[in-house]
Amino acid sequence: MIALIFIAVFFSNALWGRTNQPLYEDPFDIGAGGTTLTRATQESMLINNPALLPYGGKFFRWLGLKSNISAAKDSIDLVKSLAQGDSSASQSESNGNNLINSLFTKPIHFGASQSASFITNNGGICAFASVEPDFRAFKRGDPKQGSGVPSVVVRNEVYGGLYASLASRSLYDWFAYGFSAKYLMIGDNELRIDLTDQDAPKRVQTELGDIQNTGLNKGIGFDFSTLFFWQGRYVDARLASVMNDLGSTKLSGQTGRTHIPQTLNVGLGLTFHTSADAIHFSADLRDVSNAYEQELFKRLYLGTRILIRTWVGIAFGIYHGSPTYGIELDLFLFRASLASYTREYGDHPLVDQRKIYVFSFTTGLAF
Amino acid sequence: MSSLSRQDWHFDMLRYQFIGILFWLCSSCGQESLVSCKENESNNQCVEQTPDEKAVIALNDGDFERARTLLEKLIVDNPNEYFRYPRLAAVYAAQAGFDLLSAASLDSNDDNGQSDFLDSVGKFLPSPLNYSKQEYQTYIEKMNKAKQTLLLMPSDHRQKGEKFYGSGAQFQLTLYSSALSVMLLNQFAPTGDTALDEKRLEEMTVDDAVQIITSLKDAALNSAATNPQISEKINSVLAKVDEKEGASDEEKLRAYLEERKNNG
Repeated sequence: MIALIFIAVFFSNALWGRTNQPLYEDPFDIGAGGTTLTRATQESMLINNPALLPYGGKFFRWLGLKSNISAAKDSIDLVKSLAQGDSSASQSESNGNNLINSLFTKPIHFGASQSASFITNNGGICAFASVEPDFRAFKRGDPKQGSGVPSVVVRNEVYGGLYASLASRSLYDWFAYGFSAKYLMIGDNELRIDLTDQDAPKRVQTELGDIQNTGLNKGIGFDFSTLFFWQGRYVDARLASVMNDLGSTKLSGQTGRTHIPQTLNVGLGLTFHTSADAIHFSADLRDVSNAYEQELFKRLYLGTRILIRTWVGIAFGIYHGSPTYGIELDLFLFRASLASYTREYGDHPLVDQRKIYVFSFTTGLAF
Repeated sequence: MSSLSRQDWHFDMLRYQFIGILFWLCSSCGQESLVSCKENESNNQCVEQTPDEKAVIALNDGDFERARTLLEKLIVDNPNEYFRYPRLAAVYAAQAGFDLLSAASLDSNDDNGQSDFLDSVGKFLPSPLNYSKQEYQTYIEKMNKAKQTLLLMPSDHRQKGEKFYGSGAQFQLTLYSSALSVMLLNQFAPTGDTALDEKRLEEMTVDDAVQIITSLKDAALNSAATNPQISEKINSVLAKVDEKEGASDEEKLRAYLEERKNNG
């Protein structure tokens, strides 16, 4: 599946991408508002805060594979309405008009990703790959560069990476630090096409050719993280800080994203627990210095995880200013989770949103 | 049950009740954005869209009056930011009843070049048969405003090139110029109408005829660089009008319209 994901880039239109969010997100973490600095799921610890590793219990923690698929609610509704459409000749023109109207009101958005990871109490490695195409048509231009004529914005985010992390507690039990080295492959530009532009097909062909020639932009980067962890009998508190992309990660390539700026992320977590259950509240502020120049609602993530007897997890949160929900079933050899969240592509709320459902299936060994 | 196990049981029940209340509280948040500003609600904590974003969203949602109000104010405040002009022109054209989405697929080579240009454009315009004279006049004024808004832009901003809005502005000027000329003509000889209404045609004055012909010439000129085929079709119409016998433009135009309907 990872190979299929990378093949997709060669047939993709120009691409566009994630900013302060991690390049790979676990669905249950997304359900918890995308909070990952004070608590994260499996390989997300390596990607978001490796300093979480030393507080996990046994030395060998996890070896496994995870596959995720996602789709926007509107896209699912569109497919359902097309599948239910009357196929008779008399209705075919009506169905065609309905399809055109639907394309101009409902975006098409799908995603697939996969990861493989091996995690211990002091380190781990993980590899991931994801692709997330998005297509949106506007009757009279998109909110950023529309000029009053029908237009289409095509985006495709392709990310891949290999993380190797190390972590250790300090002399004090309540303080740990972690370090990740990462190799990233990124392809994210976007293509805007005015439907009235007669040169559009030629332009699309040229840009596709450029992308196929240059492929993904690649680079090596480093993250450093710390975690303060005060553990009580029933209440724990956590304070995390993560410096991503130390010194900025330079990427190869002349087009698209050529570097990832250094960002500082901080997180606060509070856990109420017994020996079997836990309720974890978390708040993450990503990109504290606002290197990406975004509004606060796109940088603040809030979440709650309710873990019952280690088998069932329920999550809620706020991601890009909208509620998120998640549920997971964690059995010995496999784990399944489902989440819904809203991602905002625009710079402000309700400009260009996608309500997305994500499903994940994980198989592996938890020690 | 011992007092200790009863205590554990109570603790478990309290815990699950707390989880249930938390579940209910969080799920009652719904799915809508919690930070967007709602109309008619004052909330300093909400994150507001920019006026430009509001205008384009209103334009796409079909709320043309709101889009018009926002864009007119933005243009008055920032007259040199020309990217808003084609958006406002699209608003006026939509308020003139023009269906831009359908017209964007207008191909000047329809029907192997055999289609009548006036009928082709007329398909995307409101028919005067469905409106009073006053209402239709309002639509004509809106379409004229759409054209004039685009003409306020410097010509180098109305071309394909570095400006992201240049191509859209150029296309709209071609389309609205053509649409305006057809709408002026439609007042007296609605396109698509098989029977020519002599009474309606008699209402056409000399000034009306001059306005129609001037508008057709403008449309031909505005489309010459961007869509020579449309320009050629318009010039063809003008040539046919000019060929007709008559002492004035009004007589020639009347003769052309009568012949067109007789042949149609």
